[in-house]
Amino acid sequence: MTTNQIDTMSRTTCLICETNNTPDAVLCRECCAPMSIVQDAVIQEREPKIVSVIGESNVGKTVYLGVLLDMLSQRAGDFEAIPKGAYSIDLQQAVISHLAHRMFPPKTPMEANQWYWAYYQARRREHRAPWVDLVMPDMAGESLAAEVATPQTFRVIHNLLNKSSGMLMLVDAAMAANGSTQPDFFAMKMLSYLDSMYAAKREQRIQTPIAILLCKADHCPECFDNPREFVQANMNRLWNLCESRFESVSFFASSVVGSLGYAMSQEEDYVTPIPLHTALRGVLEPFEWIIDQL
Amino acid sequence: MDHRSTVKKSAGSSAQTVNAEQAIFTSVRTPTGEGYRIIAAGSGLTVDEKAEITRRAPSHGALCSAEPDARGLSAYPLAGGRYCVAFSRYAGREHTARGGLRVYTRLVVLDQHDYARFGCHPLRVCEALSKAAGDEPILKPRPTLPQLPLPIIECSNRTAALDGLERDEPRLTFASIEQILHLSQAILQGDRTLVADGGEDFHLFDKTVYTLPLVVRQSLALSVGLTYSPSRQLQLCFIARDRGETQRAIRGQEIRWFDVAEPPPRKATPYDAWLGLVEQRLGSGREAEVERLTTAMTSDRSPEMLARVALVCADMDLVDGADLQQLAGLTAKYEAFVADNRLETDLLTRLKKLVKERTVALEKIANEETSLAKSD
Repeated sequence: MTTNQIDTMSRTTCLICETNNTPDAVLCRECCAPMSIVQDAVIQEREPKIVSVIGESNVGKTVYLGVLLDMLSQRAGDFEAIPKGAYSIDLQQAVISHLAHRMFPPKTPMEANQWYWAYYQARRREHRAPWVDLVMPDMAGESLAAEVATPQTFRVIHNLLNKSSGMLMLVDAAMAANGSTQPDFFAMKMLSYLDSMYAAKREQRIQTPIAILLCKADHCPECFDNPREFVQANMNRLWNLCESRFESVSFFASSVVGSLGYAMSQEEDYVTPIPLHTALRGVLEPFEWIIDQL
Repeated sequence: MDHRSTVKKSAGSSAQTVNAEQAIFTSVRTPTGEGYRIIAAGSGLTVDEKAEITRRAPSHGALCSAEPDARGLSAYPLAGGRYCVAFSRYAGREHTARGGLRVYTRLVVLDQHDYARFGCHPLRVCEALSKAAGDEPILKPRPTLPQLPLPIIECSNRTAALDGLERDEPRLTFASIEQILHLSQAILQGDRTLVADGGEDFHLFDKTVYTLPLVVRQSLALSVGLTYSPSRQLQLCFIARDRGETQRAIRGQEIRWFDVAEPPPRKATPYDAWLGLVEQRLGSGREAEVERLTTAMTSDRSPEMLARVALVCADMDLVDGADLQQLAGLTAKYEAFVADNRLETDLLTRLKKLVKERTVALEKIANEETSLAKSD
């Protein structure tokens, strides 16, 4: 999709699924993407780039994206970032407000009309780099898992990933460090899905840059020392697939929560994790790398 | 015309039960994953059916009410031709404890023929599901579920299946009849409709469904007690009152917004003759008759057919008070009437029988009066 297409096809053609919508539509009738993204893109006269945050349910996509956007809007790492529209701020507001009250934000529903979308213009100030228009949806991990298991279950996800210029894939480092194979298998499935979607010929390697984030790294601080080595040792299946099929992959360790408390209810049988404070580490670096690759 | 006459024995099942595929969709943590997904399903469900169910099932926060006893229902035809009825409730706290309750959905998938045995009414299927499987959520089921024998329930109080809701059916008020007529008209015209402030009104949902011909019901996608989501692809959706977010979200989507508190005036449509009969019947407490009529409408749903049915039914009402001259008029009126389907044939037969009985009775009275006059 090019800027020209946005101008000439129709101003109400969805950026994600290219469905034509009526001019007064708020959400795309096919994929539920906010139509304000289209309007904002037309105004900017620049082709927006979609950066998708992917990973399984409860890995921390919402928290990561919310904190990242908040850091960008606070000019962290000498980035300058401007949200386009109030809807772009909803996610970071929800995440920061919840963390400030020592709560994790609510689960992201599978229903696409309930997802947060952020449209940001970002650039590095020091290099007077050109502005990049970024569209970043916060997808539900369950919807991603369902799409990966049975492609075309959620066409919005297929379209989003197909149009993504870069991806931030989150894996649960804490689980992997504890010996669980689940993060390794999920990441492998996800990459295998992308491989099938992108690769026209088997001998071609996938060019789309993918930053692999080892989330919840505060539980296994050793992965900050050498994320590549951590993945190679603890998620060897993922490592091998990356090496074989993906041209542009980089590994990062990341952590948002400094320490966790656990609250128990006397009446009910559940434990609530309480984020006692935030200690951001390795949040911006994957994004910087993705921006450099675009 | 009794809707029970449509019940036929199907191979492999007794007359009073039908075997349905079942599945459970909820959020649990297992060694192979976590979050909302189908955690158990019958082996007879296809991959495509499971994918469609996953796409349309309610997930976190999808019940209209946050009360622990909230209920929701969605029912829709699957692309493969079968029909899915899904009953949702809460099952404790969501396991990640990130706020909110866990939405638990038990669903059954029926062949069209078997769905017709429940009058193509999702509440009747829910009641059968409740009787067959109980109401307690199962969070650690075996991955493969057997077919579930659903009892055919003739109970007219379908909302009794929804534990915790009002069990006595209130008599319909003028306002609720107007709402039913509006919604019935919208569906007959093929309009997708969102019913605002109707999220917990299972009675309005129930009555609205029963005013629709069975041929419409059997392919209707509808929900009550769940939030609106385009991914559910519903034609009729009862949602809670909101602060305008949903109304804004459906802008430009060709979805009719119907606020039960402020129904707009009804416009004239080709269905008015039929809706007039429904209005009269509901207003005089003859709901069961509407239910029987619509359940017998198994093939045709055209406005012309509905108007003919309304005409015959209205004329039937005249018979009781008609004199011999009026009865002769009715006989002449239906002399050339050609019935197009089984329902019309049955109605016509019934009308002619009533006219004949009334004529005989009046002639007998007239003869007796004549004899009496002569003897005097």
